[in-house]
Amino acid sequence: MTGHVDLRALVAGVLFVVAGVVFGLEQLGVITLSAGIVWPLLVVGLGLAMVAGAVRQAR
Amino acid sequence: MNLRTPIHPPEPAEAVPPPPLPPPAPAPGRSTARVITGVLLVLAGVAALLHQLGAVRLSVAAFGAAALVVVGLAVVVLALQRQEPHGLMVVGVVLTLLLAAGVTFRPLGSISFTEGAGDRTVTPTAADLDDGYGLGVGQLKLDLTGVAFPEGRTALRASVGMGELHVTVPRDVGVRIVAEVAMGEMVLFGEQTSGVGLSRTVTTDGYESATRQLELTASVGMGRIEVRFDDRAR
Repeated sequence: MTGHVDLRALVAGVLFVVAGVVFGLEQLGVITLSAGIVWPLLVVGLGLAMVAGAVRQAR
Repeated sequence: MNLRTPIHPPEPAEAVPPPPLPPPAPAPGRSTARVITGVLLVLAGVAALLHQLGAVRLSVAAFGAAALVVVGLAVVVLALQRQEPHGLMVVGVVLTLLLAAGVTFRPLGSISFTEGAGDRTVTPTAADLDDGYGLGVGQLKLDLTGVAFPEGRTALRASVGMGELHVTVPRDVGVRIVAEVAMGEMVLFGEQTSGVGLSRTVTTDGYESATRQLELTASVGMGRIEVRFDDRAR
């Protein structure tokens, strides 16, 4: 058990939930995804997780 | 009288083994991760059984999306409990990448590479119009200008595994094109797009109000899609 909340894990978890919901909606036919949308969003998510990790290290 | 009692050397005390140390308690985060993994496995098994029994229709991607939500929630819970969910984060990253790859290469899933090879030109009429045309490898030319489309919506599929798909559509119907190319390029009414995992939907002007509508789903795994109007009608 660590001393404080792992911000990177928290952000990653939220991003996983959002990604799962988006992919699920795509499977239900509610939205349409393409590689041109998915991969840039994944890069954004990766960047957010890295920022969160950097903030955690700075604290 | 010998009062002296013989001196016996003290018997060595029996070696008492030290009490065994209690087994180390598993890290809380790890045990929670195991519970989550177990729950996911149980859900996967139940979903696969229900799918096999025909009770539900589940795709692998749909289950992957649901699993990603569960993993994400578990990661959030563990993070808030100040535990380290690193193993689950790896699972989440892998699931996300697999789902993204599934979206990217989805056109390959709707294509049969066993539909023959070579160059094929199809010029159907209303009488012999099929609902789908496919080619495994090669060039498929689908000329729909000779089809007198009936009133209402006509759905049509055309796919090529590897190669080129050319579709010519008449100008007097409303056309909606749903095109997917896993790798290559598409030219829909003159608009060109190239790359990986292409997916575009194009609707001609007046499609919604047209009395005769053509909805064409065009897929190519690796190669090119070109859809254009019949130039002869100009």
